[in-house]
Amino acid sequence: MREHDFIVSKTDLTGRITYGNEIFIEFSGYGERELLGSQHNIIRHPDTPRAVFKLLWDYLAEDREIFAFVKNMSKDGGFYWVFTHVAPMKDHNKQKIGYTSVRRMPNPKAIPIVEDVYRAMREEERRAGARDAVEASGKLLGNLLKDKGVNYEEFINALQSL
Amino acid sequence: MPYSRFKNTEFVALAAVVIGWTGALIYGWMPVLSPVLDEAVSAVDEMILPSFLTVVAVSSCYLWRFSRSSEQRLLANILNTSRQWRQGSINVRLTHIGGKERALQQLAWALNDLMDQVETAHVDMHYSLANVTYGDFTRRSHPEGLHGGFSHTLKQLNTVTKPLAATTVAVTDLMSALAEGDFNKRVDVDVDGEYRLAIDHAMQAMQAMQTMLGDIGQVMDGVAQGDINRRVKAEGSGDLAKLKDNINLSLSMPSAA
Repeated sequence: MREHDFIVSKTDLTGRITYGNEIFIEFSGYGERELLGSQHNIIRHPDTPRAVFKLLWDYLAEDREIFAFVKNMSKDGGFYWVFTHVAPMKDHNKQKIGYTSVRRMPNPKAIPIVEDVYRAMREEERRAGARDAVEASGKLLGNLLKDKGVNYEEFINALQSL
Repeated sequence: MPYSRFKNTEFVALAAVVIGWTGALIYGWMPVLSPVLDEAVSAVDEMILPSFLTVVAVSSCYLWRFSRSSEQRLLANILNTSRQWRQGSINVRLTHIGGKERALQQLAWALNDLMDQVETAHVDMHYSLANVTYGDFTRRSHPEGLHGGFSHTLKQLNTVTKPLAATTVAVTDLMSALAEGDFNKRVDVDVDGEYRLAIDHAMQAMQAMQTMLGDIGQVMDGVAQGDINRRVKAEGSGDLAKLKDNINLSLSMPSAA
């Protein structure tokens, strides 16, 4: 991503894309018509551990915002790292109607660190097997944060501020 | 669409095209319909070109009509969505724009971009201020990717929360030290105004405690060594002054001797 790139997308409550801005269309490689109505995991890269997405959905289920480093995959099989912020969208009656995601350029210094963490998490997921994968890699992430004496938000913010 | 290039002279352009096509069709069909041509084979040969022209003319009309109706649909979409924005629904966007070649499509994407900036700044401010309300000053706003005033506002928000966080951390440090009996604790924080005042007051309070308790400690040491003529001299107010008076009074009582 370029320094001032600003990818915006929106989904409904089930994760189906309801909007993608021009830069999202450019990076994803899909046309607007292809993206609208597709599941947002159409751009998911397998290098991002499943536990990261579980964490993301857990936060959103509690109406909380979340920041994360995510590796996305474009239509041609290429990839791009993003520093993403996802938050619930609400209507005038405070009812949740979907999710909005803003993705910016991640701090390049953070990427090697995140790659190492995600690699370890993926290995843990593979070792634990499909059924226990998310729990196992989530536990690994939890232990890492505990060792560093920080919570998830502090860890992510520290990486982006390196 | 070729017709969309005639933005301000659409009527004239259309008239020119209609006249051109009509002329071409008449010119093409004239020999076929002419009574001079009697032989059927010759007529079939002559019909190929005008038939082709007719198909092209009809297709052109259809494309023009389709282009017009998609423009009108997008325009109606823009009007409808802008009404929702006016009502405060900043999460709504224009979709099914269908490209970015035509001016109206470019306008739609530009409006989406504007609303992306508005909504992102709004969401960021919402979460930052909510965190401040709950006493959490650690959330940093993200002006990256935002333009002009939007970016400036979020940078300003970060500037506002910085002294709040610094002051809170400094006062917490001082109070923790106080709780642990460490009255020598000092903090060096670069803040101004009310923030500076809060930290200075906290440090002055610790200084007063340190002076008073230090003086009381020396007097008590003296008493322990049999010197009952020493008195607490440190200045204090409120309960500290009361403590000082009570100690001095008890040392002055005859039983102390």
